[in-house]
Amino acid sequence: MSRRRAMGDRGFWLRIGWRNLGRHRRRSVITALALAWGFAAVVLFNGILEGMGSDFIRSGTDLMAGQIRIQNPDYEPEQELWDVVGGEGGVQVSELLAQVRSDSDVIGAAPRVYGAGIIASDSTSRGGVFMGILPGEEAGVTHFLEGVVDGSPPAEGAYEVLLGQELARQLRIGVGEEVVLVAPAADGSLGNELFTVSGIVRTGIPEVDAAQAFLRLDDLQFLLALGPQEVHEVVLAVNDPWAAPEVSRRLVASLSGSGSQIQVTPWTEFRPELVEFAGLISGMNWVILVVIFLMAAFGVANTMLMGTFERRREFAVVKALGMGPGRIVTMVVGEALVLGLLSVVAGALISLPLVLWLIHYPLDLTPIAGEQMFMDGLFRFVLRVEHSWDIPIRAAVGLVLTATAASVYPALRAVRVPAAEALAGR
Amino acid sequence: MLLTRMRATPEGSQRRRGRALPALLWTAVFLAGAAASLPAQETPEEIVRHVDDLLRGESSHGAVTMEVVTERWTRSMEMEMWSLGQDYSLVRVLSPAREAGTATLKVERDIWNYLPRVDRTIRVPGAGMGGSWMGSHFTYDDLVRESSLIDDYDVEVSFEGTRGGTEIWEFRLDPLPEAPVVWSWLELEVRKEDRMPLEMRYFDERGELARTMEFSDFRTMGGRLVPSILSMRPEDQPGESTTLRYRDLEFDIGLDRGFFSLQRLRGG
Repeated sequence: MSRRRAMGDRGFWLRIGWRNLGRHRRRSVITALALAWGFAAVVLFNGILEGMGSDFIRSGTDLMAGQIRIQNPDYEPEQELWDVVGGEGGVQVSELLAQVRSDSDVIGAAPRVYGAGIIASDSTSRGGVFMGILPGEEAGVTHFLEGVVDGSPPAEGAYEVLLGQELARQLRIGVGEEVVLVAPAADGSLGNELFTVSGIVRTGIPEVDAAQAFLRLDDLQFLLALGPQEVHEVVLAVNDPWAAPEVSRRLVASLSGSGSQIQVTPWTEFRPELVEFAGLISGMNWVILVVIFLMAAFGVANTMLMGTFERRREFAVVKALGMGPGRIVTMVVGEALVLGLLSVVAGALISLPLVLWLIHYPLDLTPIAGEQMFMDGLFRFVLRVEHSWDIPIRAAVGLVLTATAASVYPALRAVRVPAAEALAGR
Repeated sequence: MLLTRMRATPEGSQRRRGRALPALLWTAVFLAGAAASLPAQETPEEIVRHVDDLLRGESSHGAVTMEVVTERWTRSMEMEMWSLGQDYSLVRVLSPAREAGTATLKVERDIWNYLPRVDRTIRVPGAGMGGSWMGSHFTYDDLVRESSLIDDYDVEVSFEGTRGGTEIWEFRLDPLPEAPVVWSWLELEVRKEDRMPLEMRYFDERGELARTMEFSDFRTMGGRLVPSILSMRPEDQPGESTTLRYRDLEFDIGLDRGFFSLQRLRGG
């Protein structure tokens, strides 16, 4: 084995690094543990933040809005009754639903009709927003029907209505009682019908709970003089919220045959504030990464500086024997690289059980922090880690790079050891 | 006032009185002249008050056809209506049959609807006041806030002369600070020859023309000359309009507040 080959071999320098670390085991272990903990902290915090961000996005879209919506391009912002999906005459709703569901990323689709008018009990009346839904389909897209606190969602063919909790309170009305719904219809007439209150719902969104009444899709279509093919919106849920823009583009292409009066919008466009929020979280992740790794960098630099200082005579000897500066640097940096790799392994061992635990058993802080409405979503403070390979890989690479970079200065110091003086003990 | 001041200068006043007397005379003659010209030359307020009271009278009763033209549909409704001052009115739909019996009662700031289909009387809540009244371009708010042009606005003449071959006044009406008015200002065109309103323009808070009300087909009904057609065009919905055609009108028929009851609303 020629000397050149042996010294050019990376494994050789790593082995030297490993041996050098072993010369001062306790110090090496303590430094590695500090780095490992930094790694674990980054993985854990970033995971929790990602989890929160993802929860915000989910609660902001899954509660009522949906992750993708299909509308008539003219529907927003005027929300005129006759601007239905597909334009005049509407679309075959069941066909449209089947078509969007055939996309493998779409996990739910629900048609909706909206109207506005007056809701009156025997004693009083309030302005209200009416939403016609298919409760079965809606449950595959949104969660607000899980907030039914009394009774049940409206049943088919029964002229039933589910009222927001605050609205029901203001109307001084309960399940089983009658209300009149009055709304200007699409043909200019004044739609008015008697409905029975089937249930009370609390979504947590104040403006919904105080004004919204949920009806069967066909009942509201009748009240508003709309045909069965006329809906204002189809909301979709997708596997991964971040895939929504991509899925939207696919749907635009596949629905282009259904006429021009169809617009597909992902949540990233109709809830841009949620995207900004996600960006904020990602920014915070980077800040945490940088802060923790800066601390790690100083730790490594300190350890390596001490190590090189202690070994001045050794460096002097190898220099005297003819070792070039490049190899001395390689030797020191290799030691730091081994330290970094060891720390990553140790950090993974520390963080893995914690991460797995939080993925499978989210820590519910709701009893302490309560529930908060945030960006039209009901947010529960649950420490839940988003399952992701991205974060640990980013952290591992960051850690090793940091450790390596931090050893460059000590390595340069080692190169500059004046051989003769160090050997003379001066 | 002139007299008291002259008495206040007793010394040497004899000589001055000689000059003061013709001045006094002058003033008297001038004042008399001004007074004499008043019936012929009304103040802007009086003309606007005349227009304001024109279709209302102390009390009124009439039959009206409301035609609503929108981008999507056109519909026509026959209605019977009663009013007392600005605060009380009752409108009942006679046709089409599907909506016959539907009625709206306004008592001061409150509005009730009677819906024969469900046989319920419903008070229009605050949040519902922005809604369209009977599918027209009028909102419930328009009915409630049908304010007095004289009580709520400051009136000034903004144009006087010939426009489109007709001698007119154009008044600019600026809301008084406390007036419950949503408009920035109104412009009212009145024909000089018979003080008939021709057009009212409504400007929104951005100072843009929001809607125009046109008055036409002037006829004598109930003993007075009135515009029998009122047509409202919203500027933001070009091509759309709501037109009221009075077929029959009578004034000062001695209605009292008791007439405008929920019972009457139900058709009782």
